[in-house]
Amino acid sequence: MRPALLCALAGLAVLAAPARAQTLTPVDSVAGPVLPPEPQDEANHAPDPNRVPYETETSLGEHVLALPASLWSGVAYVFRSAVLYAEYSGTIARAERLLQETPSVYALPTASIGGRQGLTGGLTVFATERFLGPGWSARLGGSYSADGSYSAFGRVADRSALGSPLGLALGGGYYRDAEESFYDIGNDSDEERLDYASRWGLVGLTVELPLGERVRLITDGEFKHYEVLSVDQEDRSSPDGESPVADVPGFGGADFLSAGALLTLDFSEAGGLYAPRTYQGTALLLGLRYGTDISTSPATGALSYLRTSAELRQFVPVPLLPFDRRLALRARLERTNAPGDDDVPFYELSTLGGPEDLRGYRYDRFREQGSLLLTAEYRYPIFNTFDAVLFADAGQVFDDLDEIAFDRFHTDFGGGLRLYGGEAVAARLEVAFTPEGSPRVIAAVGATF
Amino acid sequence: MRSALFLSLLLLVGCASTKPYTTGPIKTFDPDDRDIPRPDDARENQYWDPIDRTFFYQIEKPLDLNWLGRKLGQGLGLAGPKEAQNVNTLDEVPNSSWFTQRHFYTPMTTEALRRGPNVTDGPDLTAWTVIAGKSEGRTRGFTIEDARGDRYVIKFDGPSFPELTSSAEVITTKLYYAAGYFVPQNTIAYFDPAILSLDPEAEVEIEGEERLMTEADLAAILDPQPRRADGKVRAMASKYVDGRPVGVWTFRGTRDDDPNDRVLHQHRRELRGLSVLGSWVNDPDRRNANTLAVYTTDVRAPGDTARYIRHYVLDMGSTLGANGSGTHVVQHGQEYLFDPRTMAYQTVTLGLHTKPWEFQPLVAFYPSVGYFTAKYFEPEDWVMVHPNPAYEYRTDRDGFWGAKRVMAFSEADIRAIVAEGQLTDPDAEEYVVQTLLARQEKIGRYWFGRVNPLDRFAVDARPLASGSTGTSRPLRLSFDDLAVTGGLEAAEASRYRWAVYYGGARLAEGTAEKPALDLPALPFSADPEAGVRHANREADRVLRVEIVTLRDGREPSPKTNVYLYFPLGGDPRLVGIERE
Repeated sequence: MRPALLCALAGLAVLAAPARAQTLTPVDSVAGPVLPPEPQDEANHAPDPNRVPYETETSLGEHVLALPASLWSGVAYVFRSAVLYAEYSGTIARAERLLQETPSVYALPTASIGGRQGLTGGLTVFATERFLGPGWSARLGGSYSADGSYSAFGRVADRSALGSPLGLALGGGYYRDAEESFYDIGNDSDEERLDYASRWGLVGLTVELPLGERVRLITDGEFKHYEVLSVDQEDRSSPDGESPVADVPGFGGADFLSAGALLTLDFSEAGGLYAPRTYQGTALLLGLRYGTDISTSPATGALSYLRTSAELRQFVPVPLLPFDRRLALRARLERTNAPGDDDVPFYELSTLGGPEDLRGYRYDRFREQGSLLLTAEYRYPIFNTFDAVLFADAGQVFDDLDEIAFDRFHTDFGGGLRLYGGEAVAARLEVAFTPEGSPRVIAAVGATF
Repeated sequence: MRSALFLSLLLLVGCASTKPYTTGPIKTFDPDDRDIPRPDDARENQYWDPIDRTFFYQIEKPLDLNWLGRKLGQGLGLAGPKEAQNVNTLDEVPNSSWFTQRHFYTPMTTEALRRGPNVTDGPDLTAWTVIAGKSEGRTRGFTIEDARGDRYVIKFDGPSFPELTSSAEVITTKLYYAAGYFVPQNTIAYFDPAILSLDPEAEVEIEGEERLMTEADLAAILDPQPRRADGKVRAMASKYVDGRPVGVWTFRGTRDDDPNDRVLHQHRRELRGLSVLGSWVNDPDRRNANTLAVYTTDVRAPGDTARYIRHYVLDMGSTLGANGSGTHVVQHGQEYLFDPRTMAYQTVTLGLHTKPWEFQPLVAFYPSVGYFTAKYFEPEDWVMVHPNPAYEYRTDRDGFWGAKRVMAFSEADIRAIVAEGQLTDPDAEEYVVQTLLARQEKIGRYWFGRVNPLDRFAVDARPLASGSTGTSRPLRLSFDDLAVTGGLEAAEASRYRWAVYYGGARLAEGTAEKPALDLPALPFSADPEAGVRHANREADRVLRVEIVTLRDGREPSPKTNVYLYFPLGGDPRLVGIERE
């Protein structure tokens, strides 16, 4: 009754749906009306309800109020037409089949923000064993960045070389960075920086040896020709200019021959209903790498480095919450030395800053002979294949292990989204904050820890 | 000005009001079976509907100011929800091309429940001609014509889950049929592959393109199927429905080329209420593509033939524990597959908002049953994998309507129907029965708690007691307390507080220990011989009986108003039920 009454008061009866209120007549006594007259049975004149169909009645007012929705339906109609065409023409079915079955050759676009070169896009073409034969795979790709940097790379691999358990891969590439930043070496370097350019080509061979279900040893050998130039020099064909920073070894050209080994002990447990998330367990990565400049250029002096690293990853479900709410913790200690009287080129020093470690800082913001990184992430699912993440990073670089101190840590924090696909993280979007400068946005494709 | 506009908006969408009873005959049939020209085929789609429901429709809803105004009105207590539009004054759905009253008011026999819609025992098993293939989609199979000339769609279980999909499809088909829906004749069939022959003109659709079906296509479908000891293969045979299929029907809007289709589908109670049955059997994939509109021919009498669209519910192979050829996962029925609102909420609450089922997302199950559990089932929270417009409009009255159909199945009924699934593992069969019973109980407890669960009312005038001084004959209004008949509440702990109103005056009141109200002498009579005064208008010969159910130690139930009409020279009739 109340809405109908309000309708009447508002004088909106014309627009409103018909208001047919019950009109029971109150009686003033239990005696009721008096006979006669003889009552008229109205029901006798009513149509048979079983011959009158139900119908949704929509008033003019309701049509008017639905107008915005009707306009939106027009927008939807365009999409509807496109989706239906894609389905009925078989386009979607073919695409699904393509995704379900590993194709012989396929290409994937790549894009990133917040990495070494800022905004970068590229394309990688993959050839699978359906094209190359059992066990074989190859990729060929390139990228281009907003600052003019570019790269071209390729890799061919055989996961069971000659029928053995060994995996072999041969790769190489050419890279050109148009503009990189060099900050003073040391944990307390200020924000002033020099810009430099670099270009390098490399070729390498990787051998992967599984030592058990959870233990792997990966070794590799690599030759890399490296050129570092001032930005002014970058356009010249010969890199024989002077170093922008006279006392920092590494500017100029160098031919590095290096070899390395990485031992991984992975006792983490991944899986899940839809996405390959890591829920709990421990992983340990031990790395060793030695490289030496075989060009012995007088301009650069003797350059070499020996890098050792240890990284511990721990995944812990958060108590009292479903097990897919978990903490991912990481501690990485790295040290880079030069044997004898050699110098470590600045670009092989341990660095912090960038989307893989101290995410709130610029790429290679801190650089010295050693680095310590601590990362804590709280990951929780918001969808089958999406995680949200809150993170905090802390790190410091040092010349000697004795320098490590609590008050030397640089810290950042932030949050983001992770999209899982296939067997690892396919993409992530993060925002990181630091006391130093504006927030940094990171968008990247690829695995994280 | 703005406030006036807002008020107008609220009023505009909230002021529909109808008389809650009729003094004429009760509508028991909606005549949507009138002869119409054959409509065009409405092609199904697999992708647009989920996209539309998840994104476009969700944006469209608040853009419809009728919807928005009503929601605001509900929030302010000025308007109620939009009730279904094909409900008679007894709060029931008349029979139509969508629905037929079956197992609630008049219980079906066990044999009738077992048989369901079937008029045959399934396909003749002597010779099958394959006339079309189905190599894509969620289940593989083909279409055959048997020796009798009957056509069947033959579907197979996923090779990893024998008996799962076929049993689910047959069981749910019979449950839906008994509940009142039109469904195909689905049966389990064990056949010898040797009876198959391929029609030279049989076609199969691959990636949107049809081509002639080959023996290799047939082998690709058959080879993965497990064989019984006698070499026979299990399949689910779905008989072609009578009539000409003209595509799918939708859970929203009406069909433009069907003049009989006059009620917006989202406002049809049988579609809103289907959500409750769907929650019972965990049918989260009930979308347009799993429906069928059939141009049906009814010969009612010589020379009286009508052709119209009958509306079927199809593809029950993603119910109970089955999800196509695989199994459901814990998320199915618990939340939409993709819901930006949930994602945003999860993000903002940092994952601290948890759902019980998240603590144990992977559980062991019978391979022939799949993931089907009552443990995490909450009727009020059950959802499809994608939003369904009709389900979204469901009101408490719609939910109650669906729940009383769910509760109409006794344990014996359920056992009889589950047996039709022909699960070879008796433990698996028992598990299905127990899970259905447990989910049924949850549904009853929830929906019967939302609405006063009284139904199947009957009224009769009793003879005057000897020595009575009343001015009219006493009445007895009896009914079923569905919570009691469903075993959810104890009869001895239930009482019924009633009051009789005539117009605005309360004439009498009392509390009954049993679901039968003995109403006292009334102030008027339809009996001219009673020598008393009576009303001269129909509306003056209607009484309202307000009933509230009382359970020991609990809040009184919402009210139910029952309207009784006293026709001249006839027995009083039940003419309206109004549920709060």
